[in-house]
Amino acid sequence: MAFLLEIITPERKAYEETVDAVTVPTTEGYIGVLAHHIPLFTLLTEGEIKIGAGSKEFFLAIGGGFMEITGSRVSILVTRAVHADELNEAEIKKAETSARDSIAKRAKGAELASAQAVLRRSVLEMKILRRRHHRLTV
Amino acid sequence: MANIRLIKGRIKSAKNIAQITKAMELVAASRMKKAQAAALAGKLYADKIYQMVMELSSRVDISYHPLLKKPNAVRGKRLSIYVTTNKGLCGGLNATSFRYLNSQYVHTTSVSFVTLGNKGAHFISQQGGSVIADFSDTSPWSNSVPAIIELATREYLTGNVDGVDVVYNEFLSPIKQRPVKKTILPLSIEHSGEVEEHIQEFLIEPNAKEVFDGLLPHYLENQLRDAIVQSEASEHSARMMAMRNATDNALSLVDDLTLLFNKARQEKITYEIGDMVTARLALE
Repeated sequence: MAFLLEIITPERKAYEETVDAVTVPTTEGYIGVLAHHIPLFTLLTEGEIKIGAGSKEFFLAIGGGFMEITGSRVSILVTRAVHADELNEAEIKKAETSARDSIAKRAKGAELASAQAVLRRSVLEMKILRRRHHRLTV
Repeated sequence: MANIRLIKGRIKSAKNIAQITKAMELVAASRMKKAQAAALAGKLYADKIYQMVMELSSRVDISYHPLLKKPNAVRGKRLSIYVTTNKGLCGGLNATSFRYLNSQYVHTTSVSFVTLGNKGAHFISQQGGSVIADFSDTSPWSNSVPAIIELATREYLTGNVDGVDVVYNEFLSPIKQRPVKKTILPLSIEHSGEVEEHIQEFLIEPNAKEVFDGLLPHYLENQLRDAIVQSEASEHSARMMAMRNATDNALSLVDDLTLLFNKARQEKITYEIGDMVTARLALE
C-alpha cells in the first residue's frame, strides 16, 4: 500500500511522491509511517528522513519542523530539506572543520550556538552521504 | 557660438542619465523576478502551515494558549513592525507608505515601532515616534525574522502592548503595490465552515501544548517573512517603474535638446552665409 508524501520547505517543494514507507525523527524519537497510519500531528527535530518506495530507498537531511498525517496523505513542513545527491562532500567537510575550529577556540554566545548548529548539520549530512555511497557500492 | 556647445553638453549629460537609469531599471527588473519567485515559492509553505494551524485548532481546545488570548486590560498601546526600503529612487513607494501609516495610526505616540528599512526609521523618528528596534542593517532581512517575532511576542505576553501589526507594501503586480496593515497578534483563528472528519481520532505528539508552542511562533515568523518578501518585490518593481520613467524622460529631453541644437546650428550656418554674401557684395 502506498500513500502520498510531500515535504515542503519555505523555499520549495522538496519532495512529492507516492511512497510505501517513511521514517522521520520526532521529538520523541524516530517513528516509521506506513499507509493507513492513524491521523497524527507531531514535531520533528533535525535529523534524517528515510523514504522507502518500492525497492528503493532515499535519504533526506532535514531541519526542525512539523509532520501531519491525515488519511492518505503525509505532509512534512521543515525549515530545510536536502536530498543526498544535492550534498557536496568537500563543502560539508569544510563547514565541519571550521565549526569544530571555532568550538575548539571557545567561541561564546551566538557564535558558539551557530558553530554547534553547523557542526550538527554537517555531521548529519556526512552520514547521509555515506549511506548513499554505501548503497551505490553494494 | 557658446549656445551650441552648451546644448551639446546638456544632450550628453541627458544621454548619460538615460544610460544609468536604464541600467538601474534592468538591475531592478532582475531582482524583482527573483523576489517574485521567492514570494511564490514561500506561498505554498505559508498556505500549508496556515492549514495546519486551522486544522489543529479545530480539533483541540487551544483557547488557553497565551498567544491566542485577548489582552485582559486594553491600554491602547500597539507594536507595529514597519517594513519600508533601505534605498530611495523607487518612485512614490515610501511616500505612499508614510501617508498610509499616518492614516492608520492617528496617535503615533501610543505606537512603538520596529522598523525594517532606513526610510521608514527616519520618517518615524522625524515624526517623533518611538522606534524600539531597527533591523534595517541585517542582510538579508529574513535573518532578523526570529529576533523580531521573539521581541513582539515578549512585548505582547508581558502586556506592554495590546496587539502587534505589520505594515508593509503588498505586491499586487509589477506595476501595482499597495501599503497594507496586517494584525498578527493576538492571533485570530476564525473557524471556517469546513467541519469534516472531526470525530476521527487524532493523535498529537508529544502533546497539544508543546506542538502549539512550536507551531505558533513558526506561523508568526512565516507571516512576517511573507510580508518582507512582498515588500522586497514591491520595492524592486517600484524602482523598475521609476527608472523606466526616468529613462523615458531623459530620452525625450534628448530629443528636445537635439531639435534645439539643430536649430541653433542651422541659424549659425545661415548667419555665416549671410555674412559671406554681404562681404562679397561689399567687395563688388
